Amino acid sequence: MKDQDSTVKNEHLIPYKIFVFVWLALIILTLITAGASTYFPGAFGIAVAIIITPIKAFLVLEIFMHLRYESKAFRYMFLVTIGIVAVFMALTLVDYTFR
Amino acid sequence: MSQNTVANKTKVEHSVHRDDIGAKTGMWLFLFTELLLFVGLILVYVVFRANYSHEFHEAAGHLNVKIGVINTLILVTSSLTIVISLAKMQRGNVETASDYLWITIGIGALFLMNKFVEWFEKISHDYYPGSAYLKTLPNGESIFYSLYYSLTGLHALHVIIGMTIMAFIIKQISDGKITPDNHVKLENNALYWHLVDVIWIILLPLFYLTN
Repeated sequence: MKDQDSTVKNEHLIPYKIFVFVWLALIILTLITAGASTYFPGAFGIAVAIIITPIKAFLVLEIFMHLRYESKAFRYMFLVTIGIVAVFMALTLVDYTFR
Repeated sequence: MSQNTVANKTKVEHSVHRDDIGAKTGMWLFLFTELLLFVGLILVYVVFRANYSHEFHEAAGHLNVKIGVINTLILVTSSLTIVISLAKMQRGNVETASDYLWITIGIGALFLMNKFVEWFEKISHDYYPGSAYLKTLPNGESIFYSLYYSLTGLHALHVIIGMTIMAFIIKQISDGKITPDNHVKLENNALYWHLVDVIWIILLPLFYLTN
């Protein structure tokens, strides 16, 4: 029983209000993106989507997926993946542009 | 003295049979491969959009922005309920954790229902790859709809898989195999579900908000 208690305590117990706060932020950011693309179509709407979409993904990864509270190794693994994605994107676009 | 030995023995057994960090690392590695699967298709989208920007713009105009946004709100909410399920489990409320998983499955079903209505409406208006009507439109619009069905379809498949795993997790919770002390499977299930959410967050502007 004592062992069980210590296992539970070793985990980061994140308060519920943080999750609710992140959820509210995600809802508001989604509505802002949708509003911008509906009422300001064109460059402004796209710019808002390009800025807000990564913020939303970051919130889910950091808080809902606990990346902020895990060991640093997970974050580095994630950054390596994003790096690979960036290389794919860059090489494809360079090929497309200068072909 | 004898109590100490028993305590030590329990500790040793735990470390032999379980490696939660390893399980989570494996899950994250799998999620990265999933991400790259979608990135490949998104790259195809980016290149074709650069080629046919006008046609993509026209084709996206036929999609229902409201359904896309509502589905985002639905999926984000399901992410909240599954993270609460995990938090309840960590705090020892096993029953409530199971209830929140049921709620998440319900919200996931709502997402799929919306998706079904959306696809049904599009297909009944002849917007599907290879349809006679799409063939009369410029090439780029047909490509847009091919990518739309591939990406949202692949995503919907992931939603179905996530919900199926949740059902297994609920069964294991009721069998006492997942407990507040041993819940890495629930945690990995939640990670998978959140990734499905992240992918949808990326798909939303690509297809619905391109006007």
